[in-house]
Amino acid sequence: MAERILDRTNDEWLAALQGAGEAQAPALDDLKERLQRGIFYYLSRERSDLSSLSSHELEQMSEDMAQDATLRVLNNLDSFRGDSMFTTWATRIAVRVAISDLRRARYKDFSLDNIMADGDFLPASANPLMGERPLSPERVTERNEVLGKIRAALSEVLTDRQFRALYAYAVQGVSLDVIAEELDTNRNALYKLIHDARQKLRIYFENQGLSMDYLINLFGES
Amino acid sequence: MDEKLRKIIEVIFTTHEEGEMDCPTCHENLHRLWSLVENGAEISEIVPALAAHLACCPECKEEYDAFTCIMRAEQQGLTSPPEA
Ligand SMILES: [Zn+2]
Repeated sequence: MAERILDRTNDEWLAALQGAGEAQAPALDDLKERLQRGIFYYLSRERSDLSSLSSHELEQMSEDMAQDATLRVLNNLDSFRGDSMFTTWATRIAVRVAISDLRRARYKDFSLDNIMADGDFLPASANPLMGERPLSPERVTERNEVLGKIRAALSEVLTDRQFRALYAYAVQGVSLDVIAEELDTNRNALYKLIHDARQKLRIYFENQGLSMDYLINLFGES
Repeated sequence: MDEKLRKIIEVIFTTHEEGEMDCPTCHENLHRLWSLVENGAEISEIVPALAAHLACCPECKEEYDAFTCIMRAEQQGLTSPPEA
């Protein structure tokens, strides 16, 4: 059996992985094994949400992720600029693969179609009975007015696509990877779309004289 | 306070300014950053734009944390080979 070389220089990694056949196979195995150990460590030590899985299941999961990551590394060798250790660069790619997989699994039943149109999720009225002590009639009116402005902002300032994306991201806590897939776009385009939505809304609110402190204070008060 | 309303208000007012770093740029810089971070450098000092992005992008923060977790474990020999 060929001796395993776990510590290659960057050039050795590249030469082995770019070459075909004899040199490539052991390098691929070593890379996959290394990535798998890193991923397994992360899954078993840092992910409390996976604590119900057995060690065997985590092994299996890390092996699948490492397999995908190794292929991803192989397909992207051209983009390695030599600006770090090769394995550090490969680990960065593996992390992306692993975390995307985890996010997809977490939100596998997610659908943007289930998000209702603009503003319907907001409380229907200021509901003065909900708080610990009753609100003054003036405060109730003020809350209702501001709620109306927020509802208007969400439907007038944002496109339907922006609203759904922002709602899924901010309120439901769904991952950008998952929303991007639903919207048939990539994560960066989606990040920009949401970023634009956030900025448009912030400017709109600021023009209306509504600051974060004011809003938190108005609705936080009970 | 209504939870959904609070989340919307927070996400609107915690955005960073135009021209700041986006997700792919943030991600693509992680491996280069490691040699500095492993020696104790503060990212807020060496790449403030990346630190600002991590502060308002929970997704990239999650990736950053996972990456540094694995790198640190490797460095400390905690991801030891199965047959060792
Ligand atoms: Zn990001």
